[in-house]
Amino acid sequence: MNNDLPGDARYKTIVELAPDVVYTISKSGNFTSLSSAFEKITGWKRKEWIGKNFAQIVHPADLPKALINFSKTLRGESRSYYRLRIRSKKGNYILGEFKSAPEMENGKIVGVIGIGRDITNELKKHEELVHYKNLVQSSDSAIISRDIEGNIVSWNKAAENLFGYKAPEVIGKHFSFLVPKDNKDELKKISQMLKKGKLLEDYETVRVTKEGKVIDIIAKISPIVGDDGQVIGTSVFDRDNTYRRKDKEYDDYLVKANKILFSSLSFGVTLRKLAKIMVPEVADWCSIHIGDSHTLSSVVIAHEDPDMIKWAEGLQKKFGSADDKKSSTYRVFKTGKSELYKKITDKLIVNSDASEEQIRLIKKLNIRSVISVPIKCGKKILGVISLVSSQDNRYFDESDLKFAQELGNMAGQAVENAKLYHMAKLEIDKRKKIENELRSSRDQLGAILENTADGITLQDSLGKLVYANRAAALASGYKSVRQMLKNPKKWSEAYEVKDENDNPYDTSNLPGRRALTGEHNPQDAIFFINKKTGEKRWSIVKARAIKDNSEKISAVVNIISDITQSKELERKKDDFISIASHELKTPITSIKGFMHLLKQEHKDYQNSRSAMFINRVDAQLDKLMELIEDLLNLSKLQTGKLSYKSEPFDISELVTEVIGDLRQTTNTHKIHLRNKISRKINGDRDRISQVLINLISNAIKYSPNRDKVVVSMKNGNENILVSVKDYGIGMDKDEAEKIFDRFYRVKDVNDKTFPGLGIGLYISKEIIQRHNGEIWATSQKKKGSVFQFALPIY
Amino acid sequence: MKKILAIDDDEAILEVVKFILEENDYEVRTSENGRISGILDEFEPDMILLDVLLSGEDGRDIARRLKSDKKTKNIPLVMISAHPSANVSAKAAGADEFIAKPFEIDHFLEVVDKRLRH
Repeated sequence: MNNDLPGDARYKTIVELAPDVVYTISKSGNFTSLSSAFEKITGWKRKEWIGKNFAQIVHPADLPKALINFSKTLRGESRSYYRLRIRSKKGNYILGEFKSAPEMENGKIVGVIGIGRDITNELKKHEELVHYKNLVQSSDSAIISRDIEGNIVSWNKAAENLFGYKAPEVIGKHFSFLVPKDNKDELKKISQMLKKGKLLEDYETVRVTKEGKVIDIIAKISPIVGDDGQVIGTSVFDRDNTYRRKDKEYDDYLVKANKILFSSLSFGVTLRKLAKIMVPEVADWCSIHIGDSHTLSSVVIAHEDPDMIKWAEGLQKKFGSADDKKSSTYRVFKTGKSELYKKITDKLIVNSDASEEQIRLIKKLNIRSVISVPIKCGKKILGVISLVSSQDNRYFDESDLKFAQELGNMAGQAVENAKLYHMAKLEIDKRKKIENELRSSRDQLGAILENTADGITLQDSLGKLVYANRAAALASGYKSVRQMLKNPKKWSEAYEVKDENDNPYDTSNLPGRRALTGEHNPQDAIFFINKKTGEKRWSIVKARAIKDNSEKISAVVNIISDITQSKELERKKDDFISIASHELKTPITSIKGFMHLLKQEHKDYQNSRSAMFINRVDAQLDKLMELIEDLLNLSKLQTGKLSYKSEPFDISELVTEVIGDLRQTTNTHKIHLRNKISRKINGDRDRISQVLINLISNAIKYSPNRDKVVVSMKNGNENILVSVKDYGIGMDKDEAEKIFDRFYRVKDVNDKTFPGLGIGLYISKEIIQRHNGEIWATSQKKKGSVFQFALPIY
Repeated sequence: MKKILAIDDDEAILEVVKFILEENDYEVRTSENGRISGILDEFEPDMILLDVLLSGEDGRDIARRLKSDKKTKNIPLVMISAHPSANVSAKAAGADEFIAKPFEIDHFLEVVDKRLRH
C-alpha cells in the first residue's frame, strides 16, 4: 500500500479527525494503527499500543467476547455494535461500542479494521434516569413536585408516609391542603420567591397531615426549569423536622461518643464514659453489657442519680439480669438483632412472663420505652447497649433506634480495637520479655566467652573463621579479635608448630578441619614456638562439631587451652621420678651386695633363723627393685623416652619362653598353654615379653586359692590374638574399663588392694598400642578375667 | 692375684665391691674420684671398675683419658651405672663392659672373671 496517494491522505485526515477510534489489528492481534481519538478517549499514547496485543487493553471479563468477534472478523464476517470495556491509562474502564470488518489486501484477509465509540456517557445518562426514579421512590424524604400553578404532579412513598395521603388521592390537587389555615399567606411568599428562580433551603415550617395533625417540617423547595429556561414547576423535599432536630442532636452525640470511644484503649473506661453522656438527655438509663462466647456481663449502668445506679446494680446482682436467657439483652446479644419497645404499657408488663417481683420493680422503674442494640464489629457481636426511658413523654422511635445502632457499631469498633490492641500489647510485651531474656543471656554468654581463659573460635561449615574470643586472638599472636578475623591464616607464619613427639605439626590438618570431615571430637596437643620471641607454649586444641536438625555439620567450635604450665609440671614430675629412682638404685645395689656377703657368711647354717631372715630381706629387696623399675618405665613412657626395637620375631616362641620362665617362679598355679600358633610379628620382643609377664603374673596374683592360668593363642583377621585367662576374683564391667588407667588397682571383696603401683597394665597398654595393637579385658566378678591383646602379623 | 681398681663416689658401693671381690680372691683398691694417677703407677691394676656418674666428674671423661693413655689403654675397663641408657655412651667412651645398677652379684662376678681371663 502506498501511503502517499492523495486519496489515502484524505482518508487519513478524516480518520484522524473522527470522534471515534479507528483502528487496525494484525492477524496476530497486535494493533497496527490507531486514530487520534484513541489518545483523547483512553489517555494512552498511540505508540504505547502500536505493536501490542489488543487483548491487554480489554477488560478481562470481556476478553472472550472480544476474541470471538476478532476471530469471526478474521474469517470474513463483519461484526456490529458489540460492547467491550477498555482499560484507560488511569486504570478505569471505558465502555466502548465496536464495529469491525476484515482488512483486505489483494483479496486476502490481512487483519481487522474497526471503529470504536465511547458510550460511557450515554449509558450513564440512561442509568442516571433509572437511578433517579428509584431514588425518589425510596427516599426517606417526602418528595413532591408541583406545576407552575401549584398542582401536585408527583408524590413519593415517603410523602405518603409523612402526610398520610396516597399518591392517587393528591395528584392533580393544589398543594394548599397541606398548609394550616392560619398560615396561608406563606404560600404567596414562596411562589414569589420561586418565580424569581430562587432556591429555598432548610425552610422550616408546619404542615397538616391527613389525620389533621400539625407537624414540624423542614423543606427544600427548588424551581423546575424547562428546556427553554422557564420555570415550569417546583419540587419540594419535605422532611419531618422532629426527626431532623433529633438527628442533629444525635450527630453531636455520635461525634462525642466517637471522641470518647477512641480516646482510650481501655474499653471499660470508655464504655463507662459513653453510657454517662447518654443520660439523661438521650435516655434515663443506659446500660452496657460486654460478653464473650460464655458469658454476658454488665460493664456499666448509667443514670443521672447515683443512688438509682446503686439500686439498679443491686437489682442486677439479685436477678442476674444479664445471664437471664429470657432477657431482651441476652436475646440481642445472641441474635445480633436490635429490639425497640416503643411503648411499654402496664398491660405488656403483666402479659410478659416476668415474676411478680420483677413486675413490681419494672413498675417502680417506670420503664416507658426501651432500645437494645448489639455492639457489633462486622458480624461479631461483642455486647449490648440498652437505652431506657422512664419519662412519660419520651418514647423511642426508629430514629432513636438508628442512632443507638450507630452507637453500637461505633462502640463495637472501639471495643474490637481495644481488644486487638490488648492482644497486640500482650504479644509485644511477651516478645519484649523474651527478647530481653535472650539479650541478657546472650550478653552473659558473650561476657563469659570474652573473659574465659580458653581461646574459643567458631568456624562455619566451610572452615571459615567466623568468631574468635579475645583469648583465642591473643593465643594466636594477634593484637585483637578483629585482626584475627581479618587475617585468620597469619598466625601460622609466626609460629613453629610441633606435635607431642617433637615432629613438625601439619597445620592444614588441625582438629577443626578434621571435625568438619566427620572425625568425632578430635583433639591435639600442640607445641608452639614463637619464631620472633622464642616463647614456647603448649596448647590442647579440641574441636567439636555443631550439627543442625538434619544432623549436618553446620559449624565447628574450637577450644584452645594453654597447658604449658601443666606440661611443665608433668615434665618436672617425670624428671623427679626418674632422678629419685636412680638415686634409690645406688643404695639398693650396695644393700644387695651386703646381703650377698651375709648369705655367704651363713652358707653353713642354712637352717638358722638369721639365714631365714636374710632370705626374707633379700626377697623384699627384689620387690623394691621391681617397683623402682616400674616407676622408671612409667616416667619414660610419659616423657616418650622408652625406646622400642623393631625386629621380626615369632610370637609363639616368646609365649613358650615366658611361660617357661614363669613356671619356675610359681608353685601355686599351673600355667597351661593352649593352641600354640607360630606367627611372625614385628616389634620389640623384650617389651612384648614384659606385657606377657605382666598379664600372667596378674592372673596368678588375682586368683589366690585357684590353681591354674590358661594362656591361648588365636588367629585373627590380620593379627594374632593372645589371651590370658584366670579363675580368680574378677571384676565388674566398670572396673574392666578402668583397669588400663594409670594407677588403677583392683580391690578384693574386702576392699583391700593388692600390692603394686597399679601401673603394670597401663604400661602394657602403652606397649601394645605402640605396636599398633589392641589390648582389652573381659571379666565377671568372682568368676575370673580374660585379658587379651592382638598384634598385627608381620 | 689379679688386681682391681674400683672408682665410685658412693662409699657403700666401694666397700661392698671390695668385700665381694676380695672374697673371690682379687686384690682391690678403691677411689671416690678420678684422681687416680698415683694409684695407677703404684698399684698397676689388671682391671678398672668405673662408675659413670661421679660427683662433679663424668666417668666417661675418665674412661676416654684411660683409653687414650698408652700405659692404661689395655687395662680392661668395666663401667657401672644406675642409668641403663648410659650403656651406649659408656661403650662409646671406651668401656669394654657395662653393668647396670643394681646388679646381681653373680652376674657381676661373671663379667669381671670373663674380662680378666682375656
